[in-house]
Amino acid sequence: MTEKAKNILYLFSRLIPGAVLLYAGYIKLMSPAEEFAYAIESYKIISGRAALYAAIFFPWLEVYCGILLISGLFVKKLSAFAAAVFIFFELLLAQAFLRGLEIKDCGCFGAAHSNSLPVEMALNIIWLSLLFLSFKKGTFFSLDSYWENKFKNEK
Amino acid sequence: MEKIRTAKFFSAAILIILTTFAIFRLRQSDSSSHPPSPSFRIAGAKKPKITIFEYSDFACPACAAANEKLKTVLSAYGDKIQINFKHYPLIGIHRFSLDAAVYADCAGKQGKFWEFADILFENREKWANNENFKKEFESYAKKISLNFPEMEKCHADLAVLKEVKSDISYGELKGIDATPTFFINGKRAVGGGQLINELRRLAAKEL
Repeated sequence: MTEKAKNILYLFSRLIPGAVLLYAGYIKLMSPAEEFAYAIESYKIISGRAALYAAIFFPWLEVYCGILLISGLFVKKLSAFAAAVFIFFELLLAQAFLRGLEIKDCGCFGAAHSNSLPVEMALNIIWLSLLFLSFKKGTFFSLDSYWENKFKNEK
Repeated sequence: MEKIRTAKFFSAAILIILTTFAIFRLRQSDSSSHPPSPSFRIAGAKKPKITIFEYSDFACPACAAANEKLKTVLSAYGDKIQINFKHYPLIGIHRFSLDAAVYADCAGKQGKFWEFADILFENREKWANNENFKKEFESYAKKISLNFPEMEKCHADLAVLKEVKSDISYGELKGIDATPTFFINGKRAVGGGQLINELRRLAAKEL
């Protein structure tokens, strides 16, 4: 694989999970928090006020994480953080799957777009693999490299 | 090194502020989507040229007046216009509006949402602040041959309440502070007057 092809692969390893997080957060923020809270409650871990607070907090976290990953700021730290978020989602899905909970709406992309638990778990593994690449070498065409080059040249 | 870190933090802060601002703007924007109402709360054309989302409260006089106007509009342009009724009971002012909304949906589940809604609008002064509103509703149900015990069961069903509350949440997200509020092909109109003005403007273009 040429250097250019590798760089493009690394770039997409950052852009794709970033876009997924941004879209997932955006879709939820365009709907009332209660809607996502109902989805969270279906996992039978938290309910009531706690589910509502989680429903308010998580979409913003996804959006910020997504936009920063796409722009390529703090790539290493954010790739690791985003991976932790996806691992957390994966554990949530796995426990629901193992407990045989009847989850009609996984809540992953709001109420309108819902995948089945196995599909969502498989997708999470893809995002995690991409984030691993991004963590290793995801700084191509990023604000991180822009600022580093800019100040390196100044020296 | 310090400069690089500062530049990165500064860029991140700008991105976060801009994103937050953009999302708040989009949430308030009139053109952002409304989920479709349950089928029994949809009237008019299946493939409409004009779609109206009506956020309404059965105890509100302006909503009752607008309801009459909408019926006239529907009878003339029912093949081109679709109405999606959304519950937006002003619970702080009208104590039993939320119950009325739930009972109306229960009537809808028996195929008579619009008939029950009409009766609720017409008789709002009788039930809006009446502790015995259930007796009133029972008599309305009888009038249009609804199974009231079935409606009572439905009224206790949390899923039905959730549906109504979801409408309220969407209304709050859109910043609705008066009823009736309409979204006509995405454009906001408050009250029957603005509704008719906007429909006239659209009718000249679309119908």
